Amino acid sequence: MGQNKGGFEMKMVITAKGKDLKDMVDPRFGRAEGFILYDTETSEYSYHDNTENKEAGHGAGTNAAQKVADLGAEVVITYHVGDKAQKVLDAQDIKVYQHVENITVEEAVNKFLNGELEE
Amino acid sequence: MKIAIASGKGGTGKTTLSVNLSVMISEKLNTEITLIDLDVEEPNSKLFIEAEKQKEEIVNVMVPRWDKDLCDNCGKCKNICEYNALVGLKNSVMIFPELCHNCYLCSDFCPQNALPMVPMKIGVITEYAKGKLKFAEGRLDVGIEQAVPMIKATKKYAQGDSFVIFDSPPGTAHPVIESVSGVDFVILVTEPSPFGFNDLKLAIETMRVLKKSFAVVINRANDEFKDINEYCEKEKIDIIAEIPDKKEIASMYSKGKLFYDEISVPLMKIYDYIKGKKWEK
Amino acid sequence: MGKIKEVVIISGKGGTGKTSVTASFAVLERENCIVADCDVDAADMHLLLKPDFRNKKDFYSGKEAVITPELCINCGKCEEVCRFDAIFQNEVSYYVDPLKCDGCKYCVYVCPVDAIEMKDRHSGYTYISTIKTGATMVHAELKIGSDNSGKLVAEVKDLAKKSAKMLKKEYIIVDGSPGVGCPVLSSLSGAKFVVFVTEPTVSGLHDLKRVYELVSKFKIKSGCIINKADLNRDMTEKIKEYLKAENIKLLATVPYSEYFKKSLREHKTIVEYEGDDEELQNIKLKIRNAWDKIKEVLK
Repeated sequence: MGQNKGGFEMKMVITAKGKDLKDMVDPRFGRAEGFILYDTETSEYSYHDNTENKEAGHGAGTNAAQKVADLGAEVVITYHVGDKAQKVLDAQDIKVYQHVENITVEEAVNKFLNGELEE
Repeated sequence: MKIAIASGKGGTGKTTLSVNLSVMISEKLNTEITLIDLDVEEPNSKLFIEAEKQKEEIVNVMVPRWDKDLCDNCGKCKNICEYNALVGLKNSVMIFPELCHNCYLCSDFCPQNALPMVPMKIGVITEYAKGKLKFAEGRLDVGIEQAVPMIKATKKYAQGDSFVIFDSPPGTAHPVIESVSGVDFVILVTEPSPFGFNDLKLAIETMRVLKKSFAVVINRANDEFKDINEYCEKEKIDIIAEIPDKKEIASMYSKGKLFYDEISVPLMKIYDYIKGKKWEK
Repeated sequence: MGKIKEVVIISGKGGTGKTSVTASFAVLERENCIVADCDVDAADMHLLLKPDFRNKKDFYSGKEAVITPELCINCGKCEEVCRFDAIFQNEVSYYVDPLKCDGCKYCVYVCPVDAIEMKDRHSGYTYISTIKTGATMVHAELKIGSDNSGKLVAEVKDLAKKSAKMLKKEYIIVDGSPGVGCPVLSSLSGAKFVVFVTEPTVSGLHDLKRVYELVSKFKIKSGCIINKADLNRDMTEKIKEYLKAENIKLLATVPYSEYFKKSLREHKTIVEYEGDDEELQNIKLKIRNAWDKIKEVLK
């Protein structure tokens, strides 16, 4: 795992296609397979299934954003977040790093910690 | 007499028929008629009718609003909305009215009455008049998808009128179901092709599920594709009339012009059929 | 093999020839593509491409309330709270009309004896079929009364993308949903090229503008095919001017022709219809060129 530059100590959520850090980042937010909650302080992670939103007709994004807020995350890493979900995340001061795809969750976390990602 | 003109898919000629039939009835037959365009996502009828605007009405639906002062952050509303229109955060509640289905559950559920229901505009109904024709169309605002409440509100413009034609939206989903609700019978417009036939069967299935009396009009008719005629004969479904496929007609339609004179024979057949149905009631 | 190239064909208005164009492109590309029919409300493309309707899978969307008659005590509280006029009483108990139930769950909360539960709503089917060219086609059927929230479209697209990846196909050719709502947006997700099919009529141009307004936000490369172009030369010119102004590539102007009806009646796309007639050859060439232009842009 990469160096924790800049003293970030917080929880982040990465949209993921599977339960493990070696799984690929899911480009969707509202309809992602699941979320991996990663704690930069302890380097521990947990997987949170998102099936109920995956199956939703509308409003998958808003509910997913509520879920992310409940998990106590301060950062979200994914490819694309829709307008409504963005509003919810903004209201909780959760920062979103978009346009991340085709890499593993682990690689995404490293990129973030190395300051390679843009909001 | 309230009739709806519907079809399984778009582009078969529903609006063409509704508009030409209504204007012919009001002008040539000098009879009062009301035409209501219920294709609220994209009402097209006005493109063909020159008439004077009479009035405009704003249509609202009720949606919840978060009252910050009354809320005590109990969190009971957090997961109650089946449409994800309400998001419960640490110290606030966010409402997404565009996702709301106006069920009142969150509002009635809140122990502090902190989610009062307030009106939200979804569109506009415009009423026009020209001689004996009364014409109204409902139009949803861009970005709004709640067709059903808009259709309900627009249909009210025909309340009390004795002869009404509803131009339905295409398809077989809830907007169509709402459009044909309460009408005396439905005219299904189709075109003689494998596509038209396929979609007519879907529309017929829908009418049967809704237990609605219906009959068929074939638009852009020709002599070569006879599957629809054979099918209707077998199923004992009336084909009221066939509107011929003529380049002149297509050309006038393309310019946004009416052409009821060119198709007066099939239109009169349809008018007589409707009048006949009136006595059956 | 590089990224998958997804081409979505839409038209704001029905009846412009969208499905015929999509099917023609599919036939031209033969087995090198996955075909997806996202026009789930009134699916027609199967009439031209002859899929074998295999891999049928149930599709569920949303929920509906169901009352267990044996538990119902006929208090009527459910009917009182229902805003969708979906609850009625018969000789035995109260019951929910599934056609009217919106799935809000209000009745579940107020029932004093827990006689109501929410069940997944069966809304239709998806199929992964093989069509006459040997290519794979993903398509669906929506049940009568089920609403197309865009979810079934999303499911079709998902299956198409998965199939393209697994079978290593270069193109996904999509017959998009009509209109300007969620189903259209769903049809467009992941598209690398959008084709607008229109006709030179007042309604045609009107609806083209509406649908383009929607699409322009996504900044996808786009092109337009004008069908029945000789029907109204003035309108065709107006459309061409609009395309130029909005930087939409003009892919083809196809004249009105009886051959479209003839080929459709034989359940064939126009590019498969045989004949030496110059009129027919001209149309086939225009459609082939349009598809080639699209492929060129996507290189």
